[in-house]
Amino acid sequence: MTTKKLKPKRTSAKKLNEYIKEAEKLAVKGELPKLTDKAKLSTEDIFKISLCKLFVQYMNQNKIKPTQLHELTGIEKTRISEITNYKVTKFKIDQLIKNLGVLAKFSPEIKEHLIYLESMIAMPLKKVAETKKITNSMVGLAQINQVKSI
Amino acid sequence: MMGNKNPDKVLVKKLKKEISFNGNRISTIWVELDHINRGLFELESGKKVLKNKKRTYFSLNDIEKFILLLDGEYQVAKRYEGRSSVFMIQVQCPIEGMFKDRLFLMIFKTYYEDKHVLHTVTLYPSRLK
Repeated sequence: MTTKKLKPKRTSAKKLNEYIKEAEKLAVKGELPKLTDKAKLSTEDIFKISLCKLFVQYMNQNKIKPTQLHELTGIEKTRISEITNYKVTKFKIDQLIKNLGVLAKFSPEIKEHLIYLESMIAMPLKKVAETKKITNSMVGLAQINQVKSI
Repeated sequence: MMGNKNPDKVLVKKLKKEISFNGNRISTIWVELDHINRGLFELESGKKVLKNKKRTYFSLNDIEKFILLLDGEYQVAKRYEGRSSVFMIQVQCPIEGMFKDRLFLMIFKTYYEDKHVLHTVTLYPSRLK
């Protein structure tokens, strides 16, 4: 995809004030994501965060807000907020997978991604070197596809 | 207290290392350094101008360090504004000094027309712990 060269433009004081008010409101409600130190995450948290990212990508692709996603899927608003703000201690992984199953009904990409995850999990246990080779080739392939889509 | 009526320009910086944010490769940042370091002050007329007194003393390189923390992140936009998405997040200050590890609130934009740009609108210490 080709991109246009944009010129930097200042944000007006009025607009900035609007943003700050909204951000403060969301922070008080606990609806602002906090970047976490990835080194401190457990395997379970990493799994959960990776699955949460699918929700975030879907919302960004379709430019929808949590309320609209709630209306579309029927998933509780609070749960959507917890998922999209990566509050991974608030839910279990099985609940997250269940919610992803609901979202998959509205997104062929997510449906296919879940099928892909299922097939990866079902893979028989291999030697360390073999698994590493598969992991590296999968990561490499995903990166190439990401560059192509930009 | 008087406000500063002559704000600086938006500063442009090429990142030393490209980052991936929401699956897009970000190579350039736009920074409103005066918004970040000064904040807004409301005049009696209701008009908002920049404060004279600085609240932080971040340089463009410091802001780059904050931006680098976004590498590999996927975040949902809090606003969609026709040509841009607005993100609001909380992040721990990576800069050595009085603000080290203090929680900051960062507001930034990405543009649909140029996905390699990340526009940092403001960044300030959060009142929340």
